[in-house]
Amino acid sequence: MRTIDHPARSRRSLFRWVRERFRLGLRIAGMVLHYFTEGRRIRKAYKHCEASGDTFWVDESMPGER
Amino acid sequence: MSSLRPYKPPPPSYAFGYKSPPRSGDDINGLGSTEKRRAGYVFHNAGSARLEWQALDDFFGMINPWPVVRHVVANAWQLRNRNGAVNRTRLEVTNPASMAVQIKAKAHELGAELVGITEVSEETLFEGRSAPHRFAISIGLSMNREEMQYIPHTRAAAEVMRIYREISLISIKLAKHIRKMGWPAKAYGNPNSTDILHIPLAIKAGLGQLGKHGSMISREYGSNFRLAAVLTDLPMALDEPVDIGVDDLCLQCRRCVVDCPPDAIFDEKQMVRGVKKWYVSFDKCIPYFVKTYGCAICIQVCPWSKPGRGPSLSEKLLAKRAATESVTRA
Repeated sequence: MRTIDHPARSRRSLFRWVRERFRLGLRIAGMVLHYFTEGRRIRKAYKHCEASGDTFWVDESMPGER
Repeated sequence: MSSLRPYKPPPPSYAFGYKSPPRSGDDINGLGSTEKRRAGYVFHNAGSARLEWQALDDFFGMINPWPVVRHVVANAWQLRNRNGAVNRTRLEVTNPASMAVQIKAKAHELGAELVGITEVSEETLFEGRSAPHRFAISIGLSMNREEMQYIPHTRAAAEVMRIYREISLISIKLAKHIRKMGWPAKAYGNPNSTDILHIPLAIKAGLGQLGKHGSMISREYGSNFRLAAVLTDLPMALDEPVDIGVDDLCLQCRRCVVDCPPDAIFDEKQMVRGVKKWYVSFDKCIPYFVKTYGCAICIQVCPWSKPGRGPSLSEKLLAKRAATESVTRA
């Protein structure tokens, strides 16, 4: 779950203000969707590894690493 | 382990790991290095660059339960207001000391329990990062001790993230208040994504001292609190680092060392990037931190974190030291 930071702007137009919020909302919605879809798969696979005594290899199984 | 805690910590064995281990986090952190340099990102980061331990960080984000993650999401959304337009009419500051008092009163009014002011410096910024403003207002908010007794458990993890969300909102409101006065100000209320090192900043602002467990100990709340900050150019009188006797306690106390399941806490101060200080082994701590959704055992078992104990403990430790020093002098 990554959060967002970007350079500060002291004065913004209404259009830019709306666009920035829309983009941020979209990114957060993407993060939440990712948490419930891909995250569900990861949590399930990890639980399975915990129960069976196997190892969940994070450098092979995480989306950004594959 | 304490019999007071309702949840028994799991053993430090892991059903996750790296097939090809990344570079040691202790090595990245500069453990054993005498060269003075800034801290680099290892686990959480503020940018899009992939870190050595990124896969584990991503895994941590994914295995955290929704009652924890929902606070992270809400915090990310509220931080849209961390910066904003500055009032064109600037309030001129003729007395920085009086301004510091006003700002601290405002921070307390907004809910902050610890407030200190300092100047941003090299050691308070991550490598490759810069600060948009000269001064920093460091703020702290204590966590609900009853919820934190559930360490290491999702219940305690949810409390940690709830406090981060709350203190983040306080920093946003404080920054807005300063911008209304005509001075630029930006809130730094995100624990996972930031340019500044909150603990060194808070220590410099006089909120407390570094403890054996690698976290800050404040006089009033021990380590049972979370930090945020506001960076601004508003001229204010600066606070000085404090000596509340933390070293006097940590040099004798081994409570966090004994209670740490992965044995990540050192008994002695370590050389880290050219400074001898308390340090916690990243390589031992982080896997357990991930497994237990943020652990926090060390900060809760610290004797200083017991509600109401800090001020008297500090007084006793400082008095004992003064007495020892006067005997030595005589």
